[in-house]
Formats: sequence, C-alpha cells, structure tokens
Amino acid sequence: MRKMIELKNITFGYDADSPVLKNYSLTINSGEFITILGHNGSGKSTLSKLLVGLMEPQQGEIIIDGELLSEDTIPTIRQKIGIVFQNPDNQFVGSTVRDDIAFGLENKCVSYDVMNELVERYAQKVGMEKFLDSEPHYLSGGEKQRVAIAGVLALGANIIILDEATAMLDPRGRENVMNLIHELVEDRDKTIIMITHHLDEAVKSDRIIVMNEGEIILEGVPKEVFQEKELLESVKLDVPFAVKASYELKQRGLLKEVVTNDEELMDELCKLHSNR
Amino acid sequence: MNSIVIGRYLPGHSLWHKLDARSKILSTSLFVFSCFMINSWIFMAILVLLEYLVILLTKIPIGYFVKSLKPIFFFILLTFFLQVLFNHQGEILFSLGPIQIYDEGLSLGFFMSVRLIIVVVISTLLTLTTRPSDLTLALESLFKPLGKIGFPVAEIALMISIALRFIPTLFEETQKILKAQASRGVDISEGKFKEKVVQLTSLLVPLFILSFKRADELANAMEVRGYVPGRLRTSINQLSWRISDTVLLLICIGLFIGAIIF
Repeated sequence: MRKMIELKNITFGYDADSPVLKNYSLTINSGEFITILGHNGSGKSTLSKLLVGLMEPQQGEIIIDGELLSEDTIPTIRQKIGIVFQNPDNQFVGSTVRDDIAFGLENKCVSYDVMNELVERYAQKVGMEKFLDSEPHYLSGGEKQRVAIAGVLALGANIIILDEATAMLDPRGRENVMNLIHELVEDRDKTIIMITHHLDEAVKSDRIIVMNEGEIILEGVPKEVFQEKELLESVKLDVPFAVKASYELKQRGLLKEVVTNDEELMDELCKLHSNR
Repeated sequence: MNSIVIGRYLPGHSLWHKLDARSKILSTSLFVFSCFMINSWIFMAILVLLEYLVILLTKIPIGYFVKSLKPIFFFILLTFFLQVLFNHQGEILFSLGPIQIYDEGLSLGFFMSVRLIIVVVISTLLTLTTRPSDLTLALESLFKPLGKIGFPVAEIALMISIALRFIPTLFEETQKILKAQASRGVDISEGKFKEKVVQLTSLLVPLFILSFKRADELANAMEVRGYVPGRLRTSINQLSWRISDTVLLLICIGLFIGAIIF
C-alpha cells in the first residue's frame, strides 16, 4: 500500500494556549476510504483546512503523495487534492453548472475543447448533465454538492476530502450525495476522506477515525469501532439504531457482537427467532 | 423573486439570443446614444419600430418589459410633468390659473418619456437575452485594451459575475432573516421612521455578518480550486463573432451617424 497522506506530529491552534490539534499523527493509504468522525470542535474540520494548505501547522509535517506541504508546493499539491465544503452555496463560484465545474480548469488554463469534454464527462458522472446551463438558485443543496464533486473530479484530483459535505442537506439530498460517494469509492482510484458527525455515513468506510478535542481516541474498521458504543456516545456522537439495538442484545447475551446496519440486524433477529 | 427583471436572463433560441454578446453590448450602447441625440419624431419612430421588431424576434412577452419599467415609472412621470408644466415654448394650448401648458412643452414631455422608455426597454432586452457569463466575458473582451495600462479587467469581470450570481442568494437570505425577525416580533414595515431605522438594523446586521462569512468561505473554495488573482485563466465560454453581428453593428453605426447628422 502506497502512503498518500502522512501527518507527522502536527500541532495547531488558533491561539497558542489552546491547541486544536495536539501532536497529531495519521497515515492514509492510496485508494483508502476513510471517515473522520467527531463532534463540533473536535478538530476535524481544522484537519481538512491544514491538508489543503489553507492553514499552516505550528509544528509537524504534512506529506501528500510524497511531497512535503509548504508554501512552494501548495500549487502542485492542490492539483492532487480536492475538497467539498459544508455550505453548498458558498462554494458555487460560476453562474451556471457548466461554469462552476469548469472554474478549477479555467484556473489551470486548460484549453476550451478539453475543458468542454471534461465538464460534460464529469457532469454525467454525477448525474447533472441535464442541468449544465442551470443557475445555482434553481438547484437543490444536494445538486449543488454534486456539482462541487464534479468540479473536484474534473480537476483530476486523486484525493477527495468531503468536509461535512452532507451536513446542510435534506435527507434525500444526503442520500443522493452519499450514493455518489459510494460509487466513487467503488471505482477505487481515489483516496477519499470523509469528515462527518453522522455515524451511519461511516458504515461503508475502510477505516474510521474518531476524534475528540484534537486527539484520535479510537481507530479501526467500522465493525470494531461500533463495538465501542459507550465511548462513542461519551463524545456526543449519535450511534445508529442498529448499533444501539444490537448492543443491548449483546449485553443480554443474545448476540455475539454489535452489527452496523439495519439489514444485518434484521438477519440476526431472524436467526434469534428461528433458534427459539 | 419573479417580480425582479433587472439582471435576469431568459434562455431562448432566437437569432437575437445567438448574437455575440459583444455586438449586442456595442449595438445597444450605440442605440442608446442615438436615442439621446435625436430630436425628431420621425427618427424616434424608426427607433421604436426597430426595437419593436427585435422584441418580436426574441418572442419575449411584452409583460417582462412592462415589469422592467415599474421601478422607473416615477421618473418617467416626473420628466413628463416637468416638461409639460415648465417648458414655456410655442403656443399656449391650455391654461388654468397659474398652470399654462404650451404645445412644445407637451410634445417634448412625450418625447422625453418615450426616450426613457425605449432606453430602459433596450437595456432590459440586452440582459434578458444574454447569459450573465457571456455578458461579463464580453465586457472583459471589450475592455481588454485597458489591461495594458494595468487595469485588472479579468478580476473585475469575475467580481461582476460573482456579484450577479449571489443576487438571488442574498435576496433569499434577506427574506429568511425578515421572517425570522418577524417571528420574534420585529415588524419593519410599521412604526415611526425612527423605529423603522432601529428595526432595520435587526435585518442589516445579520445580513452583513452572513455575507462576510459567505465571502470568506467562497474565497477559501476559490483558492483551493487554484484561483490566483492576476494570473492568466482560460474560459469555458467562448464568444464567436459572425456575419450577423457585423450586420447588426453596421446598422447601429448607421443609426448613430444618422442621429449625429439630423
């Protein structure tokens, strides 16, 4: 496995006395789908801003795809890393969907013909090809986020950070965006970092990192992480229903381990019923 | 939202829609200049007819233009009555006590009103039939020579396009804040002037704070996507000048020269 992102002993604070991240280290491999979970103020969004070079750590090193992040390497590193922010409106720069997907390409001085082809290809990829000439105020939040993802994909970034990209969406928009993210995960050619406080969005990730007060408090594959229901709840994360229910069943000795989604819970319940 | 016509774009497929934005801007400007220079009714009739033909061509309902005139309706009336009441040239048509209406005043009043109306209508026609992105691109292209003396043409064009793009967003936000404040008992439409001013701050303060937050986030999003002010960029929108554009421009240059001569 090739290392895509390496954070070495990062310390960062908006003021010197209260660091948001304390001696933070993390390695993310190429092609990995990783979820960073944490409640407000856990430092998870600060982490994303450090990764794209919007802020600089006071201590420590960030290495992205073998390159040390510094003032000089920021332009090349930004071509490798794309980010989708929380507010769908505040990252929509263009006056139409076409313009917005093309914004990053325009900055890269891509030629007109190539740009058109890329914009159309990625609009199709995110299912927005029919809206190319639509203006942002006719789009829903979920549609705007899909456009933002298309913009990142069109730039050819191989790392995609979704910084609470679903937090402001309605349930349907959230589902649409999550389906798109899962599709990208299945392609397996991107490293995807999803930052969220919804545990149910983390179920399909390769690895979950739980953060609290600037430190990693738990790390592992979803199944392992969900076993720690009490720890998750102690850092104000809302545990999915299937986890809660199976945890209770486990406490009563009916189940061997905690399951992560509704289907598995249903299977286990059926088994319990037929074993009676 | 639907009541706002200024800056709105109505997609269409007419010949006029397909014209190059540069030729539309230049022709519209020449048309407006001509309109301000002439003082013969015959020439005005030609301009009105031309404008009417273009409107027919675009198939845009007349209602849109009527709506666009609403905000300046007061000025049209004002211009009309100022001329009618205070222009004392020609023969007296009508007099009632201190009010005396002269034939030239009346005629000039009508003339000036028609002039204002067709200027507003032609400008509305330009924005209704041209995509905002094309409009800014055309402005950028027309003002390119200024770039040579260090004027940031591309940056200003991008600023204009972002400003246009955020008008509906901010409008929506204003409505939301108004409702949120109304639910807390603030009513901006009632009360004395002093109360109104105080209550207006309850709208403006949150609106400003949110706008700064938006600007900050937008700047981050632009930076991350590789935007560097002052650096050369390409564009997804291309303008293409066709024969029809040259023809239109020639007609308008002809009109302009005609306006100077007559």
